[in-house]
Amino acid sequence: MSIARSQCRPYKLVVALLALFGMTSVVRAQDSGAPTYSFSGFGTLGLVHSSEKQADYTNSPWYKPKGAGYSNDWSPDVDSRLGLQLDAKFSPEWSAVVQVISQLRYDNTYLPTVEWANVKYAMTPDASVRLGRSVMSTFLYSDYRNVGYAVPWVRPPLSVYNLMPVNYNDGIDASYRFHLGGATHTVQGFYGGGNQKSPPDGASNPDTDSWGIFNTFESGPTTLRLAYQKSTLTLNDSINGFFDQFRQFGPAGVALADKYDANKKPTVFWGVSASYDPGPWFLTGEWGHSDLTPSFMGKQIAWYVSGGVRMGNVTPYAVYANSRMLSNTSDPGLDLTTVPTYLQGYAAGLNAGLNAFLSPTTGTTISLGGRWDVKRNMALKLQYDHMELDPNSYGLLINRQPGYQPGGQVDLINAVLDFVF
Amino acid sequence: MSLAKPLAFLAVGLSLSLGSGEVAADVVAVVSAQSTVTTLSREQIVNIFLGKTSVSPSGEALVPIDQAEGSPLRDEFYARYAGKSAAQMKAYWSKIIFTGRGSPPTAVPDSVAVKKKIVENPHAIGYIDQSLVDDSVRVLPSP
Repeated sequence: MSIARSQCRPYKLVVALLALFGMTSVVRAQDSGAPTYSFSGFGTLGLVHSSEKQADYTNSPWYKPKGAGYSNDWSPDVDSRLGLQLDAKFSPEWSAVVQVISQLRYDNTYLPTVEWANVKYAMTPDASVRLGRSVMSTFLYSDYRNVGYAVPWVRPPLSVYNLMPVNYNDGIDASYRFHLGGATHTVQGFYGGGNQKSPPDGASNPDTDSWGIFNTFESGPTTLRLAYQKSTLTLNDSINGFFDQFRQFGPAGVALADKYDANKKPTVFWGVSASYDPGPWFLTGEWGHSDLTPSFMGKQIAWYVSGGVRMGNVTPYAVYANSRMLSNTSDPGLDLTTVPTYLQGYAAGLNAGLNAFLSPTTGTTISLGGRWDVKRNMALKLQYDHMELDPNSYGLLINRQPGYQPGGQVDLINAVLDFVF
Repeated sequence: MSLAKPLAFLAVGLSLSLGSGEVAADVVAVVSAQSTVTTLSREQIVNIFLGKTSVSPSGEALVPIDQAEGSPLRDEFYARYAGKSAAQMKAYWSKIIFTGRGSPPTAVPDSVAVKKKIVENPHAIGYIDQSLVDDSVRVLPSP
């Protein structure tokens, strides 16, 4: 019943968008001929230093195996990457794009992965449908977060951008744009699924029946955005295998496993973004609410505000980011008094594991940095981050060692060279 | 005497460098003299060059013709019309290209080449050095 309903909605959306396309009649500029191909690329060379030596900082806590702090004093693996893209335009209506990115991935290699691969049909310059792989524009910078040159900071604020652990979508995505005076309004919707691979063995983390709608309003220097996204997420067997162990402990154990595992669990995301960029300065803020209950990932909100001043080729900026857990960050777990004596040690271990999963990742991050546009296609950024973690929070750090103490402060020094070609 | 000459150069240089920033008439947006478009606001012109729209408010198709990257007139056009530096424009198009949302306008080497494109295609819109305006093009009001 609930599955039928969640499958039905996106089709309605697609039908509605197609109906919109049908109603549009815009004169198309004549511009035809042989297919044209273009090749472009982007990259970042980065180094990150962390004050926390008992854990690693990474820009991708779900999908990267290491980072700065424990693994490396100065880590190139947080931000360094190279992206290559081939665009093909067959006609004013038909085009295709393939983008591959080489960056540290789950298996500790830099083997390239396909980030975008889709065929686009543009009924009009304002209405198009894409079939294949595309990256979801969950937040303002999500779908080009890897193109450091186009992002104001070293990277988008992690506590906010990590609210949704799903990056790309294999399926259909449609976009319709209309104009109100000088303002542009773009409605984008997608439907599909994906399968992100996590360290160390490339375990599958599939999401299915994923759909979302993004509404962007642009007028002069102002951009306003609303996002809604929903999907059904299953994390890999090593995580769900842990929770399955609770099922041996009768109804109470089954209830705990059902409440906290990540097996076909709904994820719901809401986001609001606003940006004002008149040129000499900019102000940007985003707010997101993710509900990944019932699962250990819980429910949280995160937001940031950032501003910068462009002084010739140099742009100093500041970011304030905050995240907060709305769901419980601990659980008494199994009642050990109801567990047979010979299993009490095992059950206590499971309870400890459960509470480790429930530990918050939240806190406040203040960043100060500067961008220097060295050349037309190259920018150097230096950024200092100060994280104040909430009590018991591990702040999205990975590879936490036995000596790691949660809930403290972490300082980062980041240097990146971003380029496009 | 020995100081007067460099000072004079400095004065001329200063007036030139200030002048290029202030005199509002160097770059003008133009359409074909055959075009039915007679007026566009600054924001409408910018939206066409940023690929946010491809038609005028009254529905005429418009094809933007850019000048080559690195050309001073291009930088001046985007600075004056869009309030964006060359680096900001590069960042803008990087965002559009690497999300598969579009590609920048066709670019030609200079104002003469822009005029040639406009003569060939009555839907073309470009920007040229004001000194090259003739009766083949219609100047759109400058901001």
